[in-house]
Amino acid sequence: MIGRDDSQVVLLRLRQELLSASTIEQGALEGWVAYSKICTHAGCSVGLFGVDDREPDVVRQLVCPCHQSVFDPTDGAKPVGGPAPRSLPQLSLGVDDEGFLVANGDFDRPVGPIAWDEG
Amino acid sequence: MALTRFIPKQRPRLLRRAEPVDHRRGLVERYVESVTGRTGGNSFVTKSLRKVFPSHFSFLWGELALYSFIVLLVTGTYLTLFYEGSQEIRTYTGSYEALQGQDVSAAFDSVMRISHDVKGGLLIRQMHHWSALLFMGAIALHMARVFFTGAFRRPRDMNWSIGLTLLVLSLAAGFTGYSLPDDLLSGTGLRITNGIILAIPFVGERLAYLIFGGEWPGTDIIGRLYPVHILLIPAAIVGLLTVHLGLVWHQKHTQFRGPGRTESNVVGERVWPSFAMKSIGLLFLTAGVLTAMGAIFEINPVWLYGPYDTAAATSLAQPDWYIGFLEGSVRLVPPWEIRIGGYVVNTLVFSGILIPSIIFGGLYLTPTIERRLTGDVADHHLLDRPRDAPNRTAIGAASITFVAVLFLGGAQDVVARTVNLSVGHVTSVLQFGLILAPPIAFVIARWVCISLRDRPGPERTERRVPIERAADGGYHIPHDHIEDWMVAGGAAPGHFDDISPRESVRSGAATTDDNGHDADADAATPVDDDVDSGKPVGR
Repeated sequence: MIGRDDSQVVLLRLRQELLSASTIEQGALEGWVAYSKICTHAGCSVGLFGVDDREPDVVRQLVCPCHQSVFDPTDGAKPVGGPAPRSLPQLSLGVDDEGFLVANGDFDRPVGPIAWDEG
Repeated sequence: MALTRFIPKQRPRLLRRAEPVDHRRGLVERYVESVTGRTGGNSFVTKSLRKVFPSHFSFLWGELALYSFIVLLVTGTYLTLFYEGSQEIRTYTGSYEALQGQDVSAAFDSVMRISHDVKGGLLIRQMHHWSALLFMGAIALHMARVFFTGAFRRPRDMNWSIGLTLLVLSLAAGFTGYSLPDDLLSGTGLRITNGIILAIPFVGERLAYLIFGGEWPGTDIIGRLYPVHILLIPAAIVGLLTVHLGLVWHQKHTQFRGPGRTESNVVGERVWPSFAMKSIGLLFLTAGVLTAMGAIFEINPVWLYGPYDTAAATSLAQPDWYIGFLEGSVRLVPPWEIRIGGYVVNTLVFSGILIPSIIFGGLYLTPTIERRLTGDVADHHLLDRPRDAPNRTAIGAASITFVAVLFLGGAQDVVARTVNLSVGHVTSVLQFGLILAPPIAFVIARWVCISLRDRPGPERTERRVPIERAADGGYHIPHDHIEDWMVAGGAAPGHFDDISPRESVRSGAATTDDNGHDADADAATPVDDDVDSGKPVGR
């Protein structure tokens, strides 16, 4: 683990044409997308990535192994199944002078499960 | 016998007249003698040992829980010699090669040491874990037995609450123990707990900071759970268990209906020797089976999971079975989130707080609800068969079905893999099942009960037992018929038309006869009358 517990990130490279407009606008970079790895449901690590290229549905899924919440990484990691109520916060990506991928800033929303007064 | 010569003629009143060892007397009789001869026939010890406990296989679950708890205490004590409750980071240098050189917490390091380097450590650790699983299972069965037979009714409603509190404490013990190794699974469990605490309205965030010593994960939580697991909870369990058993002792154990059994007596076995021998046997059996399980079956191989790491995750992650229903609740409740002003009622409030509260609230209120529904406020010492109370049994069946669906929900990924469906489909089916299955179970259970109740029962095992009248006027059951006599219930008065059942059947009278020994100890079923003990049960 690198960094703080709350700053864990999952970084994926997806086919550019699969990404929704808002995902690109939020900071996807040539198919690279970065989301918080902390599940918005109860805080487990969203550690599973599933790919299904069978027609007609092309499926990309991020899955939390604890309670089986499913997120769609092509569309802002919004929840598409399971008990997670909110999408995973996205990181805006950029490239620095030396060609490394960097985050342009912090997450725009609280990471993980939210406390009752964070609504 | 030669021994009698050494016994002084004038003995203190406390001691009974020593009987010459008579090998013609039965084994049981000599066991009784071995105690009463030393403590006096009327002492507290003797009275206690002569206490009568009814016998039925379903009365065994509570004992099983007690004995697995004893195994837990003994194995747990050994583990505390080596466990370190600290999250201080160090490099693993033990003998498990795959993790050598990795940074781990002191807690995880010590559990690895127990598992791989301490003599007998893995055996004891696995015994401890298996005992916990058995302990919870025995408690669940015990509670089901008490519920379905109506044993929770007045005057035992108080003991129902105490037993239930013991269950809650045991769940807390299980949860804290599960968290201590600080491996990937236990850390994930703590993370979820942190999320649930955060969701508590009004106090959530502060409470989470208080318990965890700051933001997740902090460095305090393991060190705080440790004394809770090894001191506070076990002490509370031991204390309440003492009250629990003391009340069973004082209020006397319930019994099923049967020949000679009434609301004001107890028919069964005396504590000494038969009940005690069986019970001690069960203790050793439990300990033996748990030792074998600890030796043979691997459980919670933390070295395969590795230390907790927020960024790591594992698929097919399940908690211990007794947390399964809570896990299922957290998995099955939809992503509801209610926002009021700047506040949010999280989905975890419903799944992690509301549903468990309903389950345990319902359990605590069970005696009250039963009183309200039936209007029956009387004391009960005779048990119902489940079929005799169709509504209660149906409510119980519906509740168990609800919890069972939650339990399946806690492993819905495993279910999906097994039946080869998508997790989403299985989840939907279980969500509907959670609402539909309990009423269906209610209807079916009620119908089964009523059908069974209204059907003429099977013929009671009717074995005619001859009795012989001896020259001195006493009655005996011939030795080769004693088994028949026991099978027939031991005390069927219909077979003794010409003698008073109180004389022949109640060995309570016989045990206190002039000779001071049980004339019919091996034959008759002991009966304890409240009249004799001088303490009316209940009000």
